Amino acid sequence: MDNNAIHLHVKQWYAWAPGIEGAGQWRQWAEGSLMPDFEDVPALPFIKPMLRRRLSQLSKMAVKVAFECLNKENDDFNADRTVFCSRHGELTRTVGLLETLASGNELSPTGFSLSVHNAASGLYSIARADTAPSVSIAAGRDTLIEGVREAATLLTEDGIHTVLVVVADEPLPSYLSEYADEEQRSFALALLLSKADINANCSFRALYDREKGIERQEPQSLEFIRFTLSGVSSAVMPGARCDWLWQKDV
Amino acid sequence: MADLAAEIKQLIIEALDLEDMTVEDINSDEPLFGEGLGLDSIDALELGLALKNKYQITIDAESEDTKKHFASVSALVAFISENSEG
Repeated sequence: MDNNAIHLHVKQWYAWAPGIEGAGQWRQWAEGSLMPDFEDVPALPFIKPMLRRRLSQLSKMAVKVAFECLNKENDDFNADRTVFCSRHGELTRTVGLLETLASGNELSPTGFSLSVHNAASGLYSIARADTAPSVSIAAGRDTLIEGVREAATLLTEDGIHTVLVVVADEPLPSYLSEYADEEQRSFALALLLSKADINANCSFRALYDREKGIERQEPQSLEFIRFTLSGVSSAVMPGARCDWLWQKDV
Repeated sequence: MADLAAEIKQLIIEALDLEDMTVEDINSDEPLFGEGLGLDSIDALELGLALKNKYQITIDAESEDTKKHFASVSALVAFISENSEG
């Protein structure tokens, strides 16, 4: 084991993007097909319509992968902690609210109340009746890395056996697109992690000497899916301040 | 009056994102909140804003009468008919 690395045991994972769902389609994407470029809404049959109507596209994606990932264990399974991560959060809603203000109209109370960064976490906890403590994180390009680091830290506590990490993001609204520094994609990824002491299956550590020649600038979550589905044993993922080396533990 | 009731029902569906519902699904005399349609307090705020924008009516959040006006579609029809400037 690499003592400078954070080791993880990924028990289950589930990802959704417009037009990509299920391991087969993700494998096709990872083998080189381009990401489909169309709008699509995740199906949420497990959420009552009166609650479902409150979810933005971002929250729908986050809640979708959270439920599907946990349901792989079983329909009643909840993790001991949840970590909801998003680089930009409910920015689409926020820009809509700002447009309303700019045009001199009153804000939608529903839109305002659900424009916060922990909207997805709150809606998930209501829909799943999950009272476990939850953390919401935004960490720029390192949003996946910091989410799993948070989870790994939580898992060092005695009573905590599983942590659900959810990462979801959407392309920046057009006003802000000039600030984009990575590929703009809609995606959501859920990882169910458990204690890594004896059965770690992957690890990551910082590489402070930046590797040259990394041209892909995908969000880290998509890089992670690509790595997980690939036959390679290690991969370098660009980050905010350094690159990250992911390895499969065998 | 029937037209105004249908108009309000359509407004409720649109303002509150009741995606799977049609005007026919809302009974004019059924309670809007709690039982009946099952709306909640944030829906009350959202609906108040939508009615204010559409019919230029003033709604006093502190008044006990407001609860009565928001009891059902029929109550809203009566309230808007009396108070609308349009």
